[in-house]
Amino acid sequence: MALNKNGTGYMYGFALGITVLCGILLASVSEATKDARLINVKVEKMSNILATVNYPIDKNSTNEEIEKAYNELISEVVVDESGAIRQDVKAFAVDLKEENTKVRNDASYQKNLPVFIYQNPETGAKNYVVPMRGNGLWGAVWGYIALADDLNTVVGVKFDHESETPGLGAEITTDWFQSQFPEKKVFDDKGNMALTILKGKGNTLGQSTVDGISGATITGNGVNNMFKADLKQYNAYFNQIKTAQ
Amino acid sequence: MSAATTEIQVERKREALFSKKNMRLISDPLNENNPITVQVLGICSALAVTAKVEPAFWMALAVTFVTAASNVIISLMRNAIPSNIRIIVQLTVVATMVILVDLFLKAYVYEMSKILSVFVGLIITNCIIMGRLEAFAMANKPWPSLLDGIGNGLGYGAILLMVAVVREILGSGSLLGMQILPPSIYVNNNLMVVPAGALFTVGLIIWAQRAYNKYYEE
Repeated sequence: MALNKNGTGYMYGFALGITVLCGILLASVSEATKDARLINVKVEKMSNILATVNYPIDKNSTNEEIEKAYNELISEVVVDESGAIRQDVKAFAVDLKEENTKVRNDASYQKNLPVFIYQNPETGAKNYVVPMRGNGLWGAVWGYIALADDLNTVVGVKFDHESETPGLGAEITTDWFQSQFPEKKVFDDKGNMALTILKGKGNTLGQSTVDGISGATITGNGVNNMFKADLKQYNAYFNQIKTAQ
Repeated sequence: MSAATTEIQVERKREALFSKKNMRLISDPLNENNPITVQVLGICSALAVTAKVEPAFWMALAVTFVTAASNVIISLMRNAIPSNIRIIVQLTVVATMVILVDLFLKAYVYEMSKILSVFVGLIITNCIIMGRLEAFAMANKPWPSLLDGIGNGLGYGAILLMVAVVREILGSGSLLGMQILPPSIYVNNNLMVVPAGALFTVGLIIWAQRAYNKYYEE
């Protein structure tokens, strides 16, 4: 019997066959490249944290170098909103996307707030790196902010985004934008959150304000809201450290 | 009846692998039948990833791989594919190839995969690829299909690189990330960084090419 290529049975069989084949192929390639992909994501996070404390990383730094520097220089801690240290959670593994969806009224509500502490090997001074996550114009924006041991002066920032407009909102990842932050103060004299990105360029800048990106006001506001919402959660922990000093 | 059958069964002389006709499959899409400037397909990604040369290069490589590989696979299966589900079969093959490329970039060229981001996935919707499958691979043997796929990928890539070189020099004053126009003598043109800059550049290339080829729309 000749095979009827337009018969229903053949059609279903063909569709099924090709789906299974493609599925098996993709699953095995995905499995084979899994380790390499996970390492890239991990090393990127490490280098972002190191970049905020001005640790020199360039395009030529190998994954091993970055991992070694991170393990030597950075210690991790997770706190909750009352400032208590949580022993059972690893800071590096905390997913802020998940944390931000936690609902305050839930019975099991407990926020995990990661802190990455950098100790300068020469001076012994500590920097506190805090991760943040918020919303830009088109998608999520996130980043890290490193504070000096007065917990007020910014040491460095590193931002990234999911899908902001190239040339506009996506400029938050550029050096000219991020290099405005060091030496700025997060809080004003009264202790209120003050670090703000203004609208557009050419503003008169105070001790807590930086120029924004022309044409990307909404992305800028998103980053401002991210500062406000995420840094506030660390108040209790920061106050503890300040009292101890 | 029997005479006709024997006539068909007479083996035609095998065509050389790099015959003139086969080489045209590669050279045609580079100029006279360029997918971007003549057929005006695949414009979306040509606008999106050409602000800098390096991402444009990787994009061109990715698209060339996907057109070539899916052309060969579809050509191998062309006599077995039921005609009423052929589009979805083509799509499945293209999607598989694109995900392979995406996984590869994420694992070994992570920086680029971040810059190209969604545009790697969007190769699936690049009209050049489905266009070549429908127009060529469904009706031709694997070897010519491979050449056709490579040719169209290169034709696409050539335009992408041209646009990217112009945009990176005029928009960022650099080439492959190296500053070549110092900010003191050249003020970067922001128009070239946004997609509109690519549209102008592609338009100018089309104009120059058609003037050179003396090609006129009837």
